[in-house]
Amino acid sequence: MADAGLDHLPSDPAVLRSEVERLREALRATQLEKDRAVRMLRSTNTELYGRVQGQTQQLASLNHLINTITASLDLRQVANTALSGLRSLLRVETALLALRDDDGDTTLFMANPDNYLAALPQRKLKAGEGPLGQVIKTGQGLVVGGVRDSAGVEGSAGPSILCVPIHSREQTIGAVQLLNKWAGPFTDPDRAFVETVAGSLAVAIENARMYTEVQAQLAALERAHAQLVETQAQLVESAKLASIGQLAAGLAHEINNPIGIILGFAQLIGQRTEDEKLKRYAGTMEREAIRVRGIVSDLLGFARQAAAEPRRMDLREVLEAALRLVEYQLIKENVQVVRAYAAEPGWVMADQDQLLQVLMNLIQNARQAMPQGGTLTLRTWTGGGTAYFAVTDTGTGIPPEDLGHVFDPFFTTKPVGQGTGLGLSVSYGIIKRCGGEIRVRSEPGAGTTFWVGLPLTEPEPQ
Amino acid sequence: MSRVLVVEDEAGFQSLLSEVLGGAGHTVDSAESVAEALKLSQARTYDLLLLDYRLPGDTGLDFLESFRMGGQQTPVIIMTAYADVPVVVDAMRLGAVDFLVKPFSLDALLPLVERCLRNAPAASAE
Repeated sequence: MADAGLDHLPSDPAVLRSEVERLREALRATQLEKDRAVRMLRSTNTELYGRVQGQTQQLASLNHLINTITASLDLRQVANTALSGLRSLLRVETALLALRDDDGDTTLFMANPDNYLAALPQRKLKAGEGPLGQVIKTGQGLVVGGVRDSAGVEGSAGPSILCVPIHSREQTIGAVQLLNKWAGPFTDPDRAFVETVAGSLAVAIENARMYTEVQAQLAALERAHAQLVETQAQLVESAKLASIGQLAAGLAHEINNPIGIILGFAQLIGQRTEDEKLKRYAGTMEREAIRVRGIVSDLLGFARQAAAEPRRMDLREVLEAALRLVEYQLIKENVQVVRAYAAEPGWVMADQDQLLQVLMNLIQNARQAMPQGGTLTLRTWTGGGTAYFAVTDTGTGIPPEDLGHVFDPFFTTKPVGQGTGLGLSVSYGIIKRCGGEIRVRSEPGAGTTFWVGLPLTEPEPQ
Repeated sequence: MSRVLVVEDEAGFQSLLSEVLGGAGHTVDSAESVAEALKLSQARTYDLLLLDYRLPGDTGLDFLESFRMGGQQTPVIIMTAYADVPVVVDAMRLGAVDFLVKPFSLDALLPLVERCLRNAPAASAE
């Protein structure tokens, strides 16, 4: 056909007609072939465009996923984001993640198929268990090529599995597993995709773990700081109390001397004058001086409380300590001492000096109530969560009308011979501050009993 | 009639105690310091001593120690403006027979003085 030039045109019309027909046929065929080629080109073009679009989209999704994973510092959130993303982007049935902690324990996280935002189901994974266990053990990825048909029914080759290790600082800290791709076997691009995600997971997990560690350290620091602040406040408070205590003690001495002089002379005037007006004036001075004494005594009580050092002690031992100081004098004054101590110890928490002060006061009162001698009985007993002691004398007794006032700091009509000690009101304050109680029972002419109850405390650890 | 030595540096207290004890029929000598008290107590024997805890330079306990080391058996009442247990305890250990906490009432002072004098060995017996 190529060499069919016009110079060689056949002269026979019939031949010519058939030649034209043949040429037309060839032209039509060429046209068809061209059309097919164009169609093919177009289709290839479309397919290529689609593939590029798809890959671009996947890259964008991958980028987004990695950004989301690394944005979180919460381990469970990191796991959830990664698993949910992998499951939807690679269209698989299930995505799993296993992480090994510093103790060597491996925890399995599973994407929740119903709700990606819900808490991840998780459990401990045994060493070497399943594909995840294998991959963590070997540090090598694993692909099992099963194919699923479009109806979602597993093909003859069984399930498809893609499992990729997560490496951090040259150690396998975990693995990601995808199970049953909906369409076709897992491909190399799938594997590359998952490996990229695993890389960013490694970073995110490391960050989350470090964050958790830092958070824990921060919490510990905050606790330590709070404790420090509290201790400091306590120190400041006790320093304040101590300085107030020192001030009070110094002040008490400075005030008690002049008050003692004023009180004494006021009483002297009252005794020696016959002038009724002057007697009244002297009485007022005396009352007011006693009032100041009460205020100073309260101040001293507060100072003593600030300096108090409560410790565990047996009441019987405190009674003995007090007796040792006065027993010689008691014998000389014809006072017989009877010890009626309980067989069991009476453990209390108290400041020994303060308790001794209460006892000395009660014993001195008893002494003064028995100017002709008598019997002083010291008893201890326990009951109802309370440790008791009692000081009983066989002295003059307290008149019933005065009995209700003996602990009153401003009580002035004490019978002669009573109230020289350190003051019953001081004793009352000490016992009250220890959470205890002090009571008195008296029968004029027969004697007086003071009894004190203090909260019973645990026995001394052996 | 008894002879009482009052060791007290506060002039007001000194005159109050002299007045009250003198009024009760006792002879009262006064000392304002530990040194003075030692000098007086060595010169004669007293029936009773009223001793303040806080004295210029020393404490009443310093005096009490020297006094007892000198073999004196005279009863001593310690006076303190501190209601301090350790002071009282130390004083009792050093042989004080009783104590008075300032400010004290005269109702407390005189019976205490009488009782201590009654229980004391007579000064003449020594």
